[in-house]
Amino acid sequence: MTRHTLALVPFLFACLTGAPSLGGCAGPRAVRGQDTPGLDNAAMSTSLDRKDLEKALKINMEAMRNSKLMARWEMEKDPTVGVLPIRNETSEHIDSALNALMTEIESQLVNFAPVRVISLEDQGSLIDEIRHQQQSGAFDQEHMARWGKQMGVRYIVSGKVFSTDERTESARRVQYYLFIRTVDVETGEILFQNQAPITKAII
Amino acid sequence: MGRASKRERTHRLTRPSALVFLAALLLGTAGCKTFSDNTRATRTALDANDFEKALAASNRALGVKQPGALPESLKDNDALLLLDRAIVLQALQQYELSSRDFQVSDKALEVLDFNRSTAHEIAKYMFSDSVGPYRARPYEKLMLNTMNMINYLARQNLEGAKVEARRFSIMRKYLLDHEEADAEAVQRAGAPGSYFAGYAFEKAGAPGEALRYYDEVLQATPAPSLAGPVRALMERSGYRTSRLQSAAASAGGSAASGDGSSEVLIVIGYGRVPALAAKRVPIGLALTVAAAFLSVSAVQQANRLAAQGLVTWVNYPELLPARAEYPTPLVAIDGTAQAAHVIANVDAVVQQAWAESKGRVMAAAVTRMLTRAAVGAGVGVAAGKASGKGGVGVLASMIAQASMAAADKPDTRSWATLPARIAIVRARLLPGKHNIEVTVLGQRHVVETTVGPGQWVFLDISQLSTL
Repeated sequence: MTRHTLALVPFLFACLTGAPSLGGCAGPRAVRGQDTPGLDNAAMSTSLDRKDLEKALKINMEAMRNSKLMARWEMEKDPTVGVLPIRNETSEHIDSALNALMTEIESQLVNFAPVRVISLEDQGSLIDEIRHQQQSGAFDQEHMARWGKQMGVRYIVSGKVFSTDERTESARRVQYYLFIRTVDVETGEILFQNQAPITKAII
Repeated sequence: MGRASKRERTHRLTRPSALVFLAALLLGTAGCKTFSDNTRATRTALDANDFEKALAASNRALGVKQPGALPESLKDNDALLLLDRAIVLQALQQYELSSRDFQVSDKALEVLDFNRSTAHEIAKYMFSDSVGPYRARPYEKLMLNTMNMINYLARQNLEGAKVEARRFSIMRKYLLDHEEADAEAVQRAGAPGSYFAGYAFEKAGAPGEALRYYDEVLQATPAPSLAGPVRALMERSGYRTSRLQSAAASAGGSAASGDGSSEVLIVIGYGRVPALAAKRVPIGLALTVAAAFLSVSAVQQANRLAAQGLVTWVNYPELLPARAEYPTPLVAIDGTAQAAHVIANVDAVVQQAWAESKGRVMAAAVTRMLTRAAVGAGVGVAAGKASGKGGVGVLASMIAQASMAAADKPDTRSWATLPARIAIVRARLLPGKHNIEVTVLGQRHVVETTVGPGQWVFLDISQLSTL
């Protein structure tokens, strides 16, 4: 080892021991999405974010627009439709994202479908009952018909999200499947069903 | 270049180097408390059964003032500190906040798991084991989702509990599939998680999934409280294993789930797992533990240094002794004694995990010691030649080694607020009002609960003292 090299030893030591203490001077700061290009595009975790929901909703609502159900609704005179909370069958806590999705489905139906949308928002006890039944697995056609009558709707739109979740030494991947279906409350017939896939990962 | 000018240049390099070196020494040795030193106040308060004080200490360690507050950005060991606070919040029955802390920590630990860089590894081997992000131990990962399931079940939130159950399963499968996995240890650490997951799916009306989870419990430990529920679930699902069939056969005349009667599940977390503490051991003793994990040349080098009397001590983390035994909690419902079943001896899980990693930890400590000796020798030679005085070189070498030894913080990071034991009481109840009395570690808890027909109640009681 030359003298010059040896003289660098303290420098190296200083860098390695001091660096952690000196690092991170620039702390976090609050920003606006509109002022920060690409902020809404970045995936922050394996949960569902707005971009994912928009994508999944677009796929499902486009399929609904082009389905036979739409022709049926066109023929009927302003049939009534209710949207149920979307069931979370995944490994992520995405309840608030799914609540936002439910409201977004209502908005889209109001804006493009020839239907009258009856919101569950004002029926607190009913929404509590539906959520309880969804949790406890006692969620069947009999309930659907009763809820439809209580809500005063002819059709019910419901949804579920499933996931397959895998992990390796260096990555975790969650594949989501968002199913949306529309059921005739009186007959129990499924008139529309579609699935939108979304994949998130930490790699 | 003449010798004089060469020397002058060396001096030019060495003088500022010395200043930087001194600065580094100050930086490196400042605040050399280890993680377990910084979290001791929380554990001391838990020993005194003072949960409010423990919460305040937990908040202080996180650098926040309110239990609802999170650090602006998670750094250093915040994910681990959040686990401590989540346990304290759970003991205070602030389940929603506890859940939030567990979830934030879960996400952060997952990212940290994939995040340890080469620079961190180098720093770990040169200076301190506690450099770099914390990598949770396998049992800690399982216990995180396990403890969070309690938060959801206590609030009767089956959807949230099922999410945690699925996360638990992914981690359990990942750990079992790992080639170095000790399947038995994973099953034992996962037993309470599998129990709560099975319970969540049972109450959610998914008998097949519930049976799969209950079978995982039976793989790890006998669970007398599962006999009746397993028998009832097998009437609604075709899923069978020999363990489930034996459990169902042992149910005898006990009432089955789904018969309209109510049920209570009481979960008692008590005692606390031991923390890690910084220790110094003689090099000879360190080598007896670490030799199998070191290269032959490293062992020879360490022996040579020890023989020269240059290096005699090694800094490393040691698991503190656990309390020898905890009395099983006494539970009475409406004055009738109930049998509590210990579903998890978390102490034993922690001790086994530590015993398995101790050799590698000690080897890392010896490697750091050798690095310090090598750097110290280099500094000594440089200083001696630059000054032309051998004494200066020896002094510089000693200072370099001493400062690096002082900066060597043994990694005492661990989740040390976990309960040492988790016990379960499961009983059928007639609909109506009931008085439940739990005595654990000398503390008496009385809960009055009212259940309707077919309803279930999940009670969580924590007593996290080691005294």
